[in-house]
Amino acid sequence: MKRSRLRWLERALLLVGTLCLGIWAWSWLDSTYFQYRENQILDEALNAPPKSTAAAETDSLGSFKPQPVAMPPKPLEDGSLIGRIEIPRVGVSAVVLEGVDNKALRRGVGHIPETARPGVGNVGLAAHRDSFFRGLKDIRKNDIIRLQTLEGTFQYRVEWTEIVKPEDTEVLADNGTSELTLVTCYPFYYVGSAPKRFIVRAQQVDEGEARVE
Amino acid sequence: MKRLTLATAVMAIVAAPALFAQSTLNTNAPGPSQETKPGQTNNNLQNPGSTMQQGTPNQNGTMQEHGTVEGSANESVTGTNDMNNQNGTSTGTTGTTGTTETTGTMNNTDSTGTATGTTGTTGTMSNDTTTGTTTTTTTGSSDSMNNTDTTTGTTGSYSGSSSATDTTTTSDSLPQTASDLPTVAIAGLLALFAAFAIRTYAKRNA
Repeated sequence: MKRSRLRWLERALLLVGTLCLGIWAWSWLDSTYFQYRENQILDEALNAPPKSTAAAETDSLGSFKPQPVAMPPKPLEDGSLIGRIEIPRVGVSAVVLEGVDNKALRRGVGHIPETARPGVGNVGLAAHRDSFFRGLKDIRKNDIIRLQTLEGTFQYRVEWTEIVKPEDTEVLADNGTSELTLVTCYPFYYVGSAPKRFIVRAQQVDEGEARVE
Repeated sequence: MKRLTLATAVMAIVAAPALFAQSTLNTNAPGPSQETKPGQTNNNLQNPGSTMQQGTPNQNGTMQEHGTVEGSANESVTGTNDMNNQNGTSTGTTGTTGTTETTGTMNNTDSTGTATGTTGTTGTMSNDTTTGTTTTTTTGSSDSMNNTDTTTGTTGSYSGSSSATDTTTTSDSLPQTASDLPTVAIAGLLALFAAFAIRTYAKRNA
């Protein structure tokens, strides 16, 4: 009787263990494949020849010429590809997606929807500390962060890092300058929901300035 | 008896559709009484029988105005709507006195300078009155609907307040960047370890 119970317990634990590891493996494979595929799509888009102005004009309807007005950027759908973030010194390289829901953060770095788009203000990006932003634990002042998007490549230099509470949303405030704010959980080695957030603030620099480093 | 049964059945058959039409299970919009534009009814709802697509504004904002409008307005609207295949021009003069309350949706995302979308207006209006002038000209273009709208209006005076609320709310905390996957993986490893420990224990005591 006792042996029978032990056998059932052993089988149950085996089942639970296999299920948990299966979920983890599936999730890892999904994010790896997603990164591979989205990187390919991004590379193809970045290497595609630009559409000529003449071609663009023939596409338009006859003599219709819309007046140039300042168009606000279209809000992107959650999960749509924005670009790629690279921090060469700490080995971070991941595609950036719109949104910070579970799916987006599982598959890549998420762009915080309330923040600006690259090049126009304070861009907020968030990712898991145990996956894409693991390298942030080694980041230092003056490290160069490269953000490749379809609108262009933006270079940022790290100004400071800070550990804040989850409610300290002022780090995402727009100060009118082109900045990049990276958000991840802190402490880096912590099982479960980490109580704090690690913030990296970087200022946009031009390409020449970035090369000097 | 047969007659009674038959009469009951006929009454049930006749009454059932009427009861269904009144019930909450009926989610169909009321049918149009008249079609004022191709694909559109006089109550601005799409004709259920029409195959034309009705454009959906991409917006995400709510405009509310409460105020008093007095004066006359000359409005000229020229629009091309690719999604609806509608082209049209309308020019008119209206005189308004009274109180209007407008609740609607502004399309601020795709179009610029022009508020488009669905508006509903309730209030009291009469056709006499005019004082003061204010001219507003707005030109905009919309990517998704390929609209070009021009609106010119002359109004008397306006007093009231308007407020626009964007549905994209700013969250009050930084994103949750803790993944459950490491916890799941650790739980799985512990479960497997426990299973093997139990097996070893059972073998030793066999």
